[in-house]
Amino acid sequence: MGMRIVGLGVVLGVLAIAGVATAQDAIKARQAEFKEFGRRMGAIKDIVIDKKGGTLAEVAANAEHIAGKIPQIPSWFPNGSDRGETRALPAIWQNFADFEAKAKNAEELAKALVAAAKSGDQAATAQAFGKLGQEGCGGCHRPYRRPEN
Amino acid sequence: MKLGARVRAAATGLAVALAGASAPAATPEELARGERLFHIGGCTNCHTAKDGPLLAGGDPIGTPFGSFRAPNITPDPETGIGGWSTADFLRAMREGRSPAGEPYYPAFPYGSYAKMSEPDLLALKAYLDTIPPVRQPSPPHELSFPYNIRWGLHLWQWAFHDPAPFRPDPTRSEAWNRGAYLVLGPGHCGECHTPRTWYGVLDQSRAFTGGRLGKEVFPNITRDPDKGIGKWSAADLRAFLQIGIKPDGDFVGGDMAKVVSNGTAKLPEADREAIVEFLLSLNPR
Repeated sequence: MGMRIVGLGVVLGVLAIAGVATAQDAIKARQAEFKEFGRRMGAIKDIVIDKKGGTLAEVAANAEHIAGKIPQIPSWFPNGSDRGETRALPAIWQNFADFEAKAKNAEELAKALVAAAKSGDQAATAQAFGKLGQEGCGGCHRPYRRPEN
Repeated sequence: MKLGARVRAAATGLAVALAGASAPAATPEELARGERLFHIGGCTNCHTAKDGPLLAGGDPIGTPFGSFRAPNITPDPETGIGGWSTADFLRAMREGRSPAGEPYYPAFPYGSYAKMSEPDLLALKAYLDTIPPVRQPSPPHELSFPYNIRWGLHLWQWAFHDPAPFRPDPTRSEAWNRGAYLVLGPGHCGECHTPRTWYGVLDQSRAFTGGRLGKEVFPNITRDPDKGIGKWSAADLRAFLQIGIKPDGDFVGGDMAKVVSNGTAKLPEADREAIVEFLLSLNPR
């Protein structure tokens, strides 16, 4: 009997650790994805805002990567992954339908950027880029991410 | 000097009051200037509720002193500021007082707005007069003791409020002065990014080194490479003010996202350049 309780305790303990480990893995994995988004958005900025050179074809390729990944975003936020080293706010899971809707909107904006870049229109590309950043990225960073300190 | 500025402000107010209620119609240029000031002033960030009508009153602003509600400032004569004379408006923006003479809490950043020029304040009023009026009473602030005692504000204003307008530095460029004016005056950047003393006054000896309000932290925006934005290039800062992108490709969130999309993003390029020139001239701290 005593052994069983100890055994149960061990199992629960292992499960708890596993749960934390999975949450931490999810956090690490999504942070890597968002870092990559940032790298690509920065590359687009260099071309369309700072005009450091580069082509609209590169813009389209970077935007295509982002547009292709955005639909996965909700799956990067499994339940419980607000616990750990993350700035994700619990509000995400309290309003998950809204979180998904915002991801959908960001996806549309990323696709619009792809289309603008492919059309070759510089001004429209810059505008679509600003919109993706402010409304797409910013749309979630505003309500769902703890500010840096 | 402070007294001089007060007397000057009062004299202007009187002159405006004597000129009568029928202010001359605003020119298109004045309205355009007023609109630009409305954007950089960030009026809508506090005075418009989420999904609510423009400027008809904002969502509660949580602070350690309690919850503030920015009121309806549409031109509705009863629940907004439509009944205000020009002198009323100037008094509110420069002295932080209501038409009845009641002092406002400095959550309304009149300490910064007081630095605006009179033509700019008049242009801003002319623009605000064109916003659709909304009839919607403003709910009261919900403050904790002792901050709910309004007469304490008379004392606070007498001791700390300096209504002197911005004075340009003739040793600096025109762009630098324009940037300084936008940042220190209508943009009221220091209201969040400058720490406050125990009395709730901006501590200008540590200007722009970052502020704090309860749990909210506002970053250091001096040129310090570690604590501030010293690693940002002028192009980085320009792009940030234009679309909210940081040097690492991240897009800003929180209240600053609103400041960018409602404010700095809507400024003419030259104004953003001016802000960049001024901010990047701040000593690293």
